[in-house]
Amino acid sequence: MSRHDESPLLPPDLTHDQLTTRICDLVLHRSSPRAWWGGLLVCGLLATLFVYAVAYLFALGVGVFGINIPVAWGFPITNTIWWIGIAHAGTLISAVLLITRQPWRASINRFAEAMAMFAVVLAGVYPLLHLGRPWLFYYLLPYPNTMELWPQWRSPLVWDFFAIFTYLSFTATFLYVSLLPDLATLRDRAATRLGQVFYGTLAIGWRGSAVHWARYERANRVLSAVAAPIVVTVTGIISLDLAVSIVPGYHFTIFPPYFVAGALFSGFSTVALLAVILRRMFRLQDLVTRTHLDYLGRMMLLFALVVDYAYTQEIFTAWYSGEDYYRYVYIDRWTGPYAPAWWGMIFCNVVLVQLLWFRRVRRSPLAMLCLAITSNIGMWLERFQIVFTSTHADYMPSAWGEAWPTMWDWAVFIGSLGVFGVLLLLFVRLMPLISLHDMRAFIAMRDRRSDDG
Amino acid sequence: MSSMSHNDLQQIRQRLSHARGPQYWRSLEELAESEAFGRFLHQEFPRLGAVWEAPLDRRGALKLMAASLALAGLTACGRQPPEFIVPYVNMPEGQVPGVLRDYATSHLVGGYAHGVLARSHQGRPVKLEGNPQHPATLGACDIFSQASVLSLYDPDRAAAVMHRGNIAGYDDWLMALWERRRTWEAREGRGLAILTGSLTSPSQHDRLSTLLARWPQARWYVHEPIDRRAVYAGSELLFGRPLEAVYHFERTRVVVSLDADFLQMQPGFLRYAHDLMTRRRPRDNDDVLTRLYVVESTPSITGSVADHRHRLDYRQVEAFARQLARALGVAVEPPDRPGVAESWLNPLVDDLRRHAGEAVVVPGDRQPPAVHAIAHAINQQLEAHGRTLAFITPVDAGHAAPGLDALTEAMQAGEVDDLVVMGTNPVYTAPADLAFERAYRQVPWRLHWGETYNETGRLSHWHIPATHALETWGDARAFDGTTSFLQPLIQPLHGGKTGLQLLTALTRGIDEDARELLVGYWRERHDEEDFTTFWRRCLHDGLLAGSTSLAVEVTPREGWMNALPPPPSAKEPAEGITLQLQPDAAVWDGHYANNGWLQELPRPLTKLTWSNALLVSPALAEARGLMEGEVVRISTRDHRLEVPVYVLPGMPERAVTLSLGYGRKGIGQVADGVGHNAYRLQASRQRWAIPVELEKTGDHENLAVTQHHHAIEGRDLIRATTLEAYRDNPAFAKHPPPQESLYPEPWPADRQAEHAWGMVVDLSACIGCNACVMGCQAENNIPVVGPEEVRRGREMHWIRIDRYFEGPLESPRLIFQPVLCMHCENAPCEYVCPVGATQHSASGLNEMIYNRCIGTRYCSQNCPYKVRRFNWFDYTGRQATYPQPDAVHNPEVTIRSRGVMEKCTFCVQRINRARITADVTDQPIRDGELQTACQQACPTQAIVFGDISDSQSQVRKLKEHPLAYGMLEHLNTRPRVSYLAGVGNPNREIETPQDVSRVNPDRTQSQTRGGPGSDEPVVRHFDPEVASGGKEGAA
Repeated sequence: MSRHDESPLLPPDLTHDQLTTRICDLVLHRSSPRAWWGGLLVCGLLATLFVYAVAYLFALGVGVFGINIPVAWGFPITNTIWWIGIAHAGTLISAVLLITRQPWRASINRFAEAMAMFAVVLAGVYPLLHLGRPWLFYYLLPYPNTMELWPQWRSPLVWDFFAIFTYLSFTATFLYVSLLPDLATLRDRAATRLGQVFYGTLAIGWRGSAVHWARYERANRVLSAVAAPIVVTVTGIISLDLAVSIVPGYHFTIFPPYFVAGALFSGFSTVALLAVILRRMFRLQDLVTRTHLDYLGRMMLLFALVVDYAYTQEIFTAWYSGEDYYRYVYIDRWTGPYAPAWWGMIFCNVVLVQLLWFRRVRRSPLAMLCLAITSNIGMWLERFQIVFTSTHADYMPSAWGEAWPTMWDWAVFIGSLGVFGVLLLLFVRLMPLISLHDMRAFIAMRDRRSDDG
Repeated sequence: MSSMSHNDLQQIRQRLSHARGPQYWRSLEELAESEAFGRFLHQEFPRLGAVWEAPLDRRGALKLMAASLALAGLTACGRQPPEFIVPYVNMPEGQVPGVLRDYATSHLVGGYAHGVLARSHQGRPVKLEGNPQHPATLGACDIFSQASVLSLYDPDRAAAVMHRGNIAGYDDWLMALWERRRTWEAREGRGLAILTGSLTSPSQHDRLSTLLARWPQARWYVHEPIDRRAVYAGSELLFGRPLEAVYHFERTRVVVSLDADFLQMQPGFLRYAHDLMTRRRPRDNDDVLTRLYVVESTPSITGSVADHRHRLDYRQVEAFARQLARALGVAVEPPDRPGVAESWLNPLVDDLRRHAGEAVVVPGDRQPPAVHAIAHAINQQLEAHGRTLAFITPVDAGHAAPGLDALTEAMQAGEVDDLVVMGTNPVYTAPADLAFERAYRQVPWRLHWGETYNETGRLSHWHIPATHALETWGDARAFDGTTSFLQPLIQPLHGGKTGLQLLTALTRGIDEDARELLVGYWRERHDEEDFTTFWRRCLHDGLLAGSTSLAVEVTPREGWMNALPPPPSAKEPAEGITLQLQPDAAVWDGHYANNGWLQELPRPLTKLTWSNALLVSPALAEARGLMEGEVVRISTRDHRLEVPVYVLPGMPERAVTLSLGYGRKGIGQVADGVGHNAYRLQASRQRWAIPVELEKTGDHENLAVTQHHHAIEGRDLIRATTLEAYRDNPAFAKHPPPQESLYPEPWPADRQAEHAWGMVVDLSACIGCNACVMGCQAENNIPVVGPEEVRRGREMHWIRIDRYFEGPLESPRLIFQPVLCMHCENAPCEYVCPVGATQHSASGLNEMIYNRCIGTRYCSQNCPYKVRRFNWFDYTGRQATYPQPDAVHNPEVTIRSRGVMEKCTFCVQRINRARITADVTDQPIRDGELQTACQQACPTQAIVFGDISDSQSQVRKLKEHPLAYGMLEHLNTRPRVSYLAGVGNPNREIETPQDVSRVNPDRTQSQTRGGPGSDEPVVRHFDPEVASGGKEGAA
């Protein structure tokens, strides 16, 4: 990121006070922009659809989804992997970029973390919706019981459960810790009694003393150091759900790194997507600049290339295994009933992302918006084709069959996008959507550098 | 009763005034002493008329009243049968709550008795098994008999006597009958017609004869939708008398079938399957395998078992029969055009000549009489009579009775005033051109007796519910004439009447006890003194010992050839398309249409459920641009029908086939609206093959098929070879695993358990008849999910019969492979379950713990055999679309709830029962004593189950047989189910396309694919190349 001073990441005349006032006013004083209300309405309706679909699902059974016996895993698993992937970039931006001291993270890390938080929540919900008897989900927990039954530790689904749970608690902690100084700022600036109590309670007595800051920095660094392995292991473990099985198309040893790269790719895409939308909605073009988009585009490109490499390796492994079954899965992916999904994935994740080589594309909000959307679609298609095509034609031709999503599959999926939107929109109205203390540190750093110069 | 007229009252007054002393009168009518009253009295109280008219004083009246009251108190609550019943004050010997009891009884398939053992759980029949002593079953059980348990509890069964659509009492009917009987009496039965199905019951026949003797003008007609008139007509042609053949396949070396599906459709099919396969199992005898040639118009399971199958239009079968006859020296007129090529015929003829005395030609029931006559003339030539087949007088007593066409004519001529329809459903099953329904509506008094209130019942004035076979005291004869008995396991659930009761009511006008009637009939015919012992033995055995029909000596008539109709014109089939009708492999003639188990049973060749479809050849489909499920309009001269198409490789090019028994209305929740009624195309003169025209409608119907992919994709799942190749290399099916496991694991028998359960499935013996699927369904409470769910791929059968095509589209080989849970030693399902709901037992069972299952479905994803089934919805409880009556459930097997995975358990309930019995009696479980449901039902002993740790057990020996192999063994799943590779015995001199693609032991699959058939379009979507070297056959 050596060329970051070509176009500044900050308005040159931005002061601490201006920044604080602007961001706090968004939460405390300014009324919501019309686009926010529009977004909330649409997302709220979709969230209602989600609730309705889930109620219907619980009432009738998991058969409302279009799954069957060769393809017993469908949208819920696809969506779990997709959401957990999205969740990843949030943590990575906050933690890894913090450790590597990348200043551009300051203005985007807050909503990236929020995005991660809500995406993990949804990723955690899907496995429950997937269960045949969701009311017995606690059998997955090692809770004490009179039958002395524990979960089966050899099953990757148990690992999965712990991975998602770990990630959820970690993300929540991380988000909260990063919010802490800003909550105190909001408490101090809140004009209403309600606001003061609300933010005051959440700020748990933060006074901004040097001791607080010292401890805060230390905690943040520890969390960040823990974050990197968590990011890698969570998706890695989710990928083991597939890789541990003996299903051709699932059983690939390259899955963990492949899935991590895919997760980061979709995560950065989603951050870019949100960045474009939010900077427009709250007029923050000067804080979340085109340079930020540029950097996000580079990250997308980097991980897209890793993903593309994984695609080639997957194909190579299938061929090199010498197993008919593995080879057939590939040929079926290319030519079978689900071939549009595979080719769609290739188009989105291999062909379109090449546009990110161009600086103009990376710096164009509209182009980035489009590419972020296509990348997310591509990543969803990737998970779809892995989950669906592998078992639909595996070992026994007599058992081959196809499963196609029903309206309930779509209702739950699109509804969950609505839930995500509602949560995020509410978050940006209640919490500062740009990290105040990180930005202030960044401003301070800039000022110090100009002093030095 | 007529009302009193003014005149009558005058008379009464007069009479009263003349009377002296106190006179008591009971009604005005009595006082009037009117004739109508007398008549009423006799109708209402037939037996009490005399009492009424007897002079009676006050004292006497009081005595009678007192006695009546006392008696009324004794008999208080209805429905108790007037029989001597001992309640369990003293528990009957051997009757222990929870212990099953088997009773020998029979089930009728097309009128022919199949001896069964009905299993009763505390007075509730839940499962039928074959009766090992019965010659028609030998312990196996067909799908119809097994599914009939569900029909017993069918909520849509006829539940009451119906009079003009209203519920009435049986007594009402008896009263109405009284009046009719007076007319019959007066007119010696003129105007009375009785229509039955095929009638093999000696007692019913006797009672019917009595009736016909009493009223000589009454007429008896027979209508069986899938009739065998051609069989009798054929033998009449040849021998001058109606006879039917009983085959002895166990004595054959060469069998030729002329469109005869004798493994599935003809009477005695279970026995025939058993007999034929005893000579075709290399595990028992690899010196000789009976060679089977099949010429058929529609692919059948018989054809798929055959070593040589040749497809011919229905009409060309006769041409082939003539060709064959002439080649063997029977001087029949030659056909216009040969049915098969000389290159196919000559080796066959040589083969037959070589094996004279050990060969037989079997004509199909639906083929015309000429084919039967020619076939049996050939048999005469081959010295088969008395050796491989025997002739007996027809088992069906109604074989000579006139049929439905005669009845319809009589009805149209107004000669029928009273029509009694017994057990058959002509309004639905009559060929359309008879216009039976219109004629039927004109009959002034119509009575229907049947198990369902069906099309005929609803058009009748009276409908009397019939008893189900499991509620019946009755008798019937099996295919070989053996008299078999039906005994009830349960009181009639809906007050049904047996056939004997109905006939008795018709003859005598009274309701009599079903058991007494039957016992009475047999007591009359029993000369020996100790009738009780005799009767008990009959009921215990389920049959009358020594009642098998004696073979009849036959010689062909002089000049029988001249009586043959001229050979069919060769032009006819060449022009148009022939529609061939056949009974359905699951719902038969429609009788079983409301049976969910049968509707959901994948038909053996098409794997179609819940509908019939027009079977067309790939060539015809291509020519007409038809795809599976596309709806076509079939037009005969007068009728048309729209049906979806199913493309079936192996169909003749110019012929299409449709099965009967569908498209019913108002029958019940299951049957209504399923499929299309093919009877509407049937013509009374050409019942089984009709020239038709096809027309595409552009509509599409989504068929519920359980197997979507029909080619094996060159995968090493099925191993098969020819007898010669097997002799050269007996261990051809042993493919070395690609890699040895680095981690040695205990072999099954090393596990610390008393038993190690295992199974062997013999692919040589499997005929794909579905008996095992049905046995499993009945035993394990497998739910019926309905067509929508089957379309989505959610059928629940724990055992499925995979059917693969191999070879060219025109004439592929068909291969069946039953697949059930393999109970892998290294089960891939077990380690992935997050809650440990599927576990291995010490004795090697892969067990499902339903209570623990939360439905992640990971086990199914990871099962390479895809044998696990999931309860996507509540298939068994209140939300179920096709709920099964609670009573039919096997109480020993858990009913699975929504969201739970299930699969084959190796009938763990049977294992545990056997273990408990062994513990209690302190006897080890003997080999063969413990049978799984699928094994027990199998007519060909293709499934063998037992303890593989016992070195003497049959299953262990078969596991060590050179033919044994494990499916997908290279995955190191170590399946407990092994397969015995299939061995056929094709004639080397016949080069037909289907033979080349038999998997050759010496070549890998990739090489096999280059065989001579490979230029033709092949049923195969994709053919992955196999890496050569070291992986032969195992990839």
